[in-house]
Amino acid sequence: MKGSLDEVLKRRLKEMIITECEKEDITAADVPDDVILFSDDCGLALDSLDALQIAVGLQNQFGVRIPDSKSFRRHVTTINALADFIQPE
Amino acid sequence: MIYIHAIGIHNTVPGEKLPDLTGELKSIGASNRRSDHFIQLAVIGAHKAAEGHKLWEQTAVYMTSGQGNTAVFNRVCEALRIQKNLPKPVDFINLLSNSAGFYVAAHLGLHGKNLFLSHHHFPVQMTLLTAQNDITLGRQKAILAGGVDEWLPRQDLARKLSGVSETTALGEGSNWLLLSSQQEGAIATFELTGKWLKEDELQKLLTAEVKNNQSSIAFARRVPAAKAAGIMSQYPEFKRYNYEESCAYYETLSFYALNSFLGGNKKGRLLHIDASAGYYMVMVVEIIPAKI
Repeated sequence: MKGSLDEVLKRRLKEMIITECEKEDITAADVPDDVILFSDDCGLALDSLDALQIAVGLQNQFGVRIPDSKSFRRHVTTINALADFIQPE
Repeated sequence: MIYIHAIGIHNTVPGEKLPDLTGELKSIGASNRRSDHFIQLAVIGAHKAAEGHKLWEQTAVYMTSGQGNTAVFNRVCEALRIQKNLPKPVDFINLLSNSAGFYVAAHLGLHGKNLFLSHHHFPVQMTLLTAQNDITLGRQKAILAGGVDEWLPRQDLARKLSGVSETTALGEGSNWLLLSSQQEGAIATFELTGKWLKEDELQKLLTAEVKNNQSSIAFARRVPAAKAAGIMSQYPEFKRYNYEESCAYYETLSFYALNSFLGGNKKGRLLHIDASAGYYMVMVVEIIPAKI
């Protein structure tokens, strides 16, 4: 199953982002699946340090290594895109 | 000689678990995001010193600690060595010595120099000596100088790192002084001779001090009890200032000794004597009586 169709995986990703970025006032339900995470529309108000936290969280919790910022920008766009990157099939 | 304009005291004896500082942080309008207990302690103590004062935005932050951000250091080591994972980037950043000073400056809206000073023997004195020199030489106009040490749940480790006995009660604290070269508005003077004194030099200093018959003496915990008692019996002119009853041990407790004296008295002069490696350092604060 593609990651974007896996609700459990997407919920885990959202919870990881909320925890790693210390956004305790936001719940997983508040994070949309198809909005750019690093945009004003998302409501998470993430910055570059959050990007680092997410990259390390992906490596530690999902075993996914993102080697550089270019790769991060390509794969960590929306929750759906990130889920598909982690679980392509 | 430089001037003390404000003090900030945060001193607790946690007992069995680390106190939650979230409520106190909220009450002073500080965020706890990306910070940890050590940084939160620093922010709360510094806030208390700055409260009610309009700080010059170039005020420098000079900070010291006996043990540093030990809890985060343990967490980073655990991630790397035991879990074989990467440490959290925020933990890694907060481990850098100057990070706590950055959070203090950010909370108070300061843009001056940020210095973290570490010293094996005299962390408090060396920080205040640096502050005194920089103010006297005109390199800084105002400095917020503080000492922060956090209580560790692993008390056996904390005692070992501090070099204190197995029965010593441990506390935590964040104590700050707002220092400046300006006399106007000051609550006290501060003076520290940079030289590490030998036994005979300490005796000479105390003999010369006898003329100030209002002087009190406080001893750092590292001064052996017998030595402190010996000095007090040799110089009956001095009163002993017992700050120890209201606190448990942490390495920057000397800051608390000065601050509690300044906060609890309307007049007086205090000599704080600390000892390490066979040498002594003496800090002197004298309260400027309020004009009526």
